[in-house]
Amino acid sequence: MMGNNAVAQTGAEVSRPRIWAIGGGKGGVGKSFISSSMGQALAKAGKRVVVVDLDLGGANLHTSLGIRGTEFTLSDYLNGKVTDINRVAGVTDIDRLRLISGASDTLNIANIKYFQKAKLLRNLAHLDTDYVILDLGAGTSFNTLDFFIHADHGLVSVTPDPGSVENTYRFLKCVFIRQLRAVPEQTREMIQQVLMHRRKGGRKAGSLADFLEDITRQKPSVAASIRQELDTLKLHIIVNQVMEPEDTELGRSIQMVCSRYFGTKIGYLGFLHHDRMVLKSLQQRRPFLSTFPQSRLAIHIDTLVASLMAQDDD
Amino acid sequence: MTDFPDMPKGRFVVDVAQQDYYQVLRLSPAASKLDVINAYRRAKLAFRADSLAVYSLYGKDDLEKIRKQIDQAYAVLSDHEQRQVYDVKRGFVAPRCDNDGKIEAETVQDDVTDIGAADGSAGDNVVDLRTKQHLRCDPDPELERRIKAADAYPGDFLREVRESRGVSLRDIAAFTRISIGYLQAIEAEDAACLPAVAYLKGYLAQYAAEIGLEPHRVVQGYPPLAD
Repeated sequence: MMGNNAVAQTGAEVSRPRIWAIGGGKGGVGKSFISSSMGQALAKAGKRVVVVDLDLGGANLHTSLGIRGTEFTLSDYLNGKVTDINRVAGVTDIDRLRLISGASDTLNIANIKYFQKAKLLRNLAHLDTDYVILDLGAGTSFNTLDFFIHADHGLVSVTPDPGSVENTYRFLKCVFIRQLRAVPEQTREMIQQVLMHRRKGGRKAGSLADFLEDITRQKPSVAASIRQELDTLKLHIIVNQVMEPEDTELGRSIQMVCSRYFGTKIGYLGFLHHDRMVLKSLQQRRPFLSTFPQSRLAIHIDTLVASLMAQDDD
Repeated sequence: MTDFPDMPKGRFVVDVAQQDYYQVLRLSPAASKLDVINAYRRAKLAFRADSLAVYSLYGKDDLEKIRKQIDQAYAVLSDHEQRQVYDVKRGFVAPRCDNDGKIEAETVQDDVTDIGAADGSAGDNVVDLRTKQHLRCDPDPELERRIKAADAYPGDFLREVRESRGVSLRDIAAFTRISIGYLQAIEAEDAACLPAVAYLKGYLAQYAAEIGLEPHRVVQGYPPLAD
């Protein structure tokens, strides 16, 4: 609940930044690339942006942005060396874009304590900026899930690779379970079993959507609170590294399947083409978007960012 | 670009027991004919056997069941008359008057037996609304039986059905804007005059709808389209 409270408390402030989190179950699906590129696109559109490297223990967002590091890192803030979160956000070569880097994080950063996580979640809203972008690590650890749920928009990067799609569903299941922390223990347990495909008493395990329908009949009040919790999540799918024309349908398919299986709406933001120049620009330590601003990929990223910004405005 | 903007907010879960066809295709009851076609295409793509998007969530049997649901939903929603019947039955629209201002109601369990079977309410008093006046209301039972049993819909059979329903080719051409030449070619199965397959399927479906046949079954059973 803590994440929700933080949002509620600061929601009254006019200058609260919008928070976008980029996650996804699998590594190598382009989370850091999308984070840094979206950050640059927002900066290009005249917004002030802070990108935060929350791939705890595997931070390399600075490399995507073509810099070595910043004066302070996330560790300095979490350890209390720097008290103002705004001081940790270091400037980059790009106007209006700042970075909270994990470049020289301490080696135990992957296991941050609960109070450190709480402090960070609470204070992200105090960053003096228009947008905050959280670049999350792979996997489904509580830390990653909590940052993802805390954001105003949760973006999931998927590549047209079975492993990635599989992990995306796993990630979404974990997100839903985590989001339902406040739901009575017994019900959560049941949902967990549904999502894990366990069969109980010979009854076929259905989808989450079927389960919600069942529970609506039995305990309408519980069902209502579950729906309310799930409805507060704003999830979006980005299909990344598209090579074949038929892969462009994957996002819509995943959206349709999610709608049917989870019974909850998930947005489809669009797809990004695979581009060899991404690797090339990384090797040259230059940010892709400003190096190839006229490429198809860069234009698609601008479009994605514009459509997500439009959703925030209404 | 992002999601289903026209999906009503309150509809959250799949109502399997009641088989809401709109819900199956993720559509709002206000969806246009084109929306239905697009949604159907997307749904079939998403739930096809080798779809990347489903294999870790659904088993083979589940997928088959889902595809059947999708087909059924499409069969009803893509057919103008069946959809109207369905909408009235589910309370999506109020019964409408036809051009003369009088409601011509009759039970249509024959037309929609598969709807009835799907939700187990075959005995309901379903009201059909004939908006097309040119369809005759006293069908020949022998012909109806043959239509129901038919797997193939050759051109001469289509003509027989059309004539028994008292519909002229001119009417169909006026209604659908398909040229009478193509309509004649369809009934004659005249390969030389038929349009390209993609167009033919569309024309055939429209033609079938005009004479009160199920468009998808006619398209499937039309001999020149069989491989």
